[in-house]
Amino acid sequence: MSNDSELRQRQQQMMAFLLGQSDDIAPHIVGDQQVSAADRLSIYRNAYRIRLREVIDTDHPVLGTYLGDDLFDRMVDGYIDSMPSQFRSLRQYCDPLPEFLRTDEFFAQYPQISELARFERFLLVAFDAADRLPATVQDLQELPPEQWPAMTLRFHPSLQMFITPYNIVEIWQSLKAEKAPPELMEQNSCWVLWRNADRLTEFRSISRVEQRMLDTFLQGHNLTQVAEIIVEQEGHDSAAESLLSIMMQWLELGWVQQLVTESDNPDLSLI
Amino acid sequence: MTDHFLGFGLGLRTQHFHDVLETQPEVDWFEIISENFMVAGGKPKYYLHQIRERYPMVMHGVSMSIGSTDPLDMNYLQKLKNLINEVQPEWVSDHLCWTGLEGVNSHDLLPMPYTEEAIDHVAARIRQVQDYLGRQMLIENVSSYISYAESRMTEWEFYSEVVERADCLMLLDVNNIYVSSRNHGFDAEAYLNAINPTRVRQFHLAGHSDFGTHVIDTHDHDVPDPVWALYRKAIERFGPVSTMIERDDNIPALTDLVAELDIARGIAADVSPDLTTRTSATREPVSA
Repeated sequence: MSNDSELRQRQQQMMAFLLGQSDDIAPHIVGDQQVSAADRLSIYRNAYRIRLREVIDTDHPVLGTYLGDDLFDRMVDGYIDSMPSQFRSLRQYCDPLPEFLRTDEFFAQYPQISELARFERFLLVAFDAADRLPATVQDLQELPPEQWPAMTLRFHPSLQMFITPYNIVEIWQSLKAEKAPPELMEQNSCWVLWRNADRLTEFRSISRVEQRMLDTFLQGHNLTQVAEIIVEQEGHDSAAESLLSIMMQWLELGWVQQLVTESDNPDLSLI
Repeated sequence: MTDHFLGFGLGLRTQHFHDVLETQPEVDWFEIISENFMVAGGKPKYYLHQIRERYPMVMHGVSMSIGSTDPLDMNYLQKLKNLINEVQPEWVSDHLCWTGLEGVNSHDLLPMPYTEEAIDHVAARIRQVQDYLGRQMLIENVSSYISYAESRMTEWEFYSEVVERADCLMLLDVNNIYVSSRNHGFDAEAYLNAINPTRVRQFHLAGHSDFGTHVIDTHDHDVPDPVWALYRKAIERFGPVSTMIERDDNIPALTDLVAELDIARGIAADVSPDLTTRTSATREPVSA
């Protein structure tokens, strides 16, 4: 369809109207005695904003509680004005919300607001990430010992690391439980979110050693390489014990999708 | 009775996932919103598959944007095709409208002007989609609040012509006909009488919000009497057509919707006394 067709022009005018950019569509709409053309058009513009507002409200309930009505309205208006939906599904509409809050002149003064939004996005990702059967402790025990050193781990698609410089998750938990949130504190912390076997989203904080270990595995390093890092951090005596107990726990929690050995990647052995 | 008569169905909504599996209600089939299941996994997909094993399903899309002057979104159509392969629905539908332009989505069902240009455009695109999906699709009439000055025909003339030229089928939304008839001052029965019965495969029923001067299609109320009355006329004209109730807001308990569905069954049985539904006391798994 050519750019100067009447149909395309009308659609451009209608979109510009919905986004509050222009009223050029108005002369092309017919009103009557019951409802004017302007009022008819405003039904669509109002519906556009109401629909997007509902999505923000639904996807970010705890953020909404934290902000209160006035700040929530300010966030919604600012976000809708600056972020016309680029997505076919409303499921993704708020994906850029944490970044908006991090960079918006007003909201950037309160970095915990962006962090709360980011945590709630992580929860949504865990909710509908792909399904995979987890590997088990037994799978590990049945692996021939000679395959352990070069073993890498493939994690469940729902697993994510939420690293934050504040006590964001504690604030989120209090608000979720309808309790007064704790004061904002600077507190480097790392949480892992995942979906369990009952399809419920869980999260728990992890130690620096566990974080380093997980991070290293996520980068594709093998067990030997991860062990070297743990030795460096923990000292030789407790390294093997820590490594094994942490891996067992991951397997029990369903974090690991596959124990990848060289026999799973025959081509890699040639490199 | 046509081969395509599925009986009386409901829109499958998240709030009812658990109850549907637990209680296996007397609902003949479910309609899913396609986009809600274009996700990788988790609870939505789990319940989709569990419920599909027990009930026939149809897929209803809200963002194909078949009337848009943007190129067709092949990424979206690929996802739709994947979901069709997964769900194996009885049929697939979307709306006679456009939803976005130049990469921006309105997330609304925006009406088309009723012109020859628009007929040519949308009919060609429906054909393209049908070729890509390898199946006929159903196109639904939308509720509308505006009329374009350049429109040269009635909504039903436009709708009928698109469907004939595209060789697709109709999902006739009885509530939308009522809503638009109030908003634009046309005769809803004249609309029904102008529709080719051989094209009609499914009915939608829903509630709306009546503001006196105009009516908004909100899907947040029970189906009101004027829509039931129009549904009776539709059954009289089109015979047994697969019928379902859409409820998208202020969603009541599943049992309430099942009871509301019985009103539709009652009207249909009243008009066609020999009408039997597909509902059976014991629900056998269906092949998906």
